[in-house]
Amino acid sequence: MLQNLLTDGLVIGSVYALVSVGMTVILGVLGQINFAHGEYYMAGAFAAWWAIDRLGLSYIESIPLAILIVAVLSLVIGYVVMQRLVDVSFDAGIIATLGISLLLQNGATLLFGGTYQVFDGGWLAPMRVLGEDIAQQRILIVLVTLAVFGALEWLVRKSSFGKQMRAVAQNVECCHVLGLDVRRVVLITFILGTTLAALSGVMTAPITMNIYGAMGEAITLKSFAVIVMGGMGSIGGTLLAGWVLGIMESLVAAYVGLQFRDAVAFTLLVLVLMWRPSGFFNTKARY
Amino acid sequence: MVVEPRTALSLRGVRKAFGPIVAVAGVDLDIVAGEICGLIGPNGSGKSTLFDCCTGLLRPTAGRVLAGATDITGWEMARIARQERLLRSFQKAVVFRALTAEDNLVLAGQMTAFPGLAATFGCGQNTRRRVRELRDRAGVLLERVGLAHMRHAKAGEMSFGQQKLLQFASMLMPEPRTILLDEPFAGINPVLIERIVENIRAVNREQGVTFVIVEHNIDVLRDLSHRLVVLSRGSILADGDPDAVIRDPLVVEAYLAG
Repeated sequence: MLQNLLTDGLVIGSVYALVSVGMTVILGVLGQINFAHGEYYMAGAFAAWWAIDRLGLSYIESIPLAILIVAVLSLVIGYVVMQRLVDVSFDAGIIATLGISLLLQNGATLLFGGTYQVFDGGWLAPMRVLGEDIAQQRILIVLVTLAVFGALEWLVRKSSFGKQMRAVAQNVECCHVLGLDVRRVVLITFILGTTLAALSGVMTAPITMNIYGAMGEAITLKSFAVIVMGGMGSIGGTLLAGWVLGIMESLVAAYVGLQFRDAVAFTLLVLVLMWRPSGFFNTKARY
Repeated sequence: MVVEPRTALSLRGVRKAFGPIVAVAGVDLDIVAGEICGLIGPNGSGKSTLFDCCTGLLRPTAGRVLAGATDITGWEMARIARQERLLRSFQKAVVFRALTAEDNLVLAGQMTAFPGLAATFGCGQNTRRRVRELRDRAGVLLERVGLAHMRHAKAGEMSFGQQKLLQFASMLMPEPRTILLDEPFAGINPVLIERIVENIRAVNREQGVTFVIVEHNIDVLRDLSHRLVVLSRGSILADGDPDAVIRDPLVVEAYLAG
């Protein structure tokens, strides 16, 4: 029973981590919380559903298409809105991203209707791992998450683009002086962050089965909790915080009551802000 | 045959007004490529505003700014730096405080080493070679400005003077054509001033980099500059040989009045 709960928590935690790390890199580079982040998760799930249900593609074909669709969507939003948020106040960023959130939610409702849609795809056959039957899709989520985090760590620490991300995160003025294209870095980072949310949405939809326009709301708020716990801008911290949240939720749902599950993130958030405002694992916040 | 000297930077009737206040009142100025030009004037004479107009921080109310033959009026600072290799410093030290001295310089070399987006994601041999070259160059420049021993120190842990030296070295990484320095000697001890002066001379002589320097330390500027321009109330009051300009009664009067 306990092992089952821990596995469940790890899977859900990986989903949270995958969404949240996108929010983390955007926060790091842009200095803004993307309050529309969950909507890209929703958009990813809907794009894949559309590809499967309306175009008749297979699940595996729907994944790259969904990511491409969300990339184009965030290219437009990044170009029109997010690039302008580099030097503006935090509250302007909140209003702007909340506005985008409303736009995307209602856009999805307008396009696909206000009811739940059933997501028909994924690999749900069980696999025996460590004496337990786990759906293949769940194992895939954990593996993909680990791969993505490995790649992100490499990108930020080793690549030139990662250096430029760190430069923009630290001192925008200095980047201007040295001729670094801050807007390009912001735009690419934003697309990277949102497509990670979309990937998470596509990977999770076969398990949650139901998708709807407002499904991203809770994800945004939980991602916010995760990145605060993870130390606001730390990639490794985000992964651990996602797992902690997933496992705690799973344990609370089983031993305290299912209705308390969604309260875990916010309770943890309050506790962290009270005692460890720089996050669980803070060694060096904001890379 | 007389060869016209190439201009590095030309101002054509540049004017900047903030509401009713005219900070720069129609300045015409040609900076010859390869010269070191000092720009002095009493407080509020429009020196920094003029710099801001040249480097895209402010858009002139009227007039044009040219880098070589390119009209850069209204361009953003980063684009001017990237495309025209026209860089500027500020009175404060603008550095990446959380990065080491070496990383500061490696980043400063990015725009020339990795101009395309795709290259910034590269991880092949070519990329590694270019990064190695940047590191080597950073080492040479740190040696040159006397910060070799601080190579792995965080910029934020350095003294103000050292940060300014680091900033100066950063500006040399992207192979600049023209550098505008805004009060490079303010708040710096005489030993470091001497070091910056030597470096400006050397870079100007060896690489032909053009310098325009706003500075209140007139003694240092008189020795360093090939030419001195005096700005007063937004207009050019005097322009020419530094010694002659400083003795000009008009200039003396403007300074006393200012």
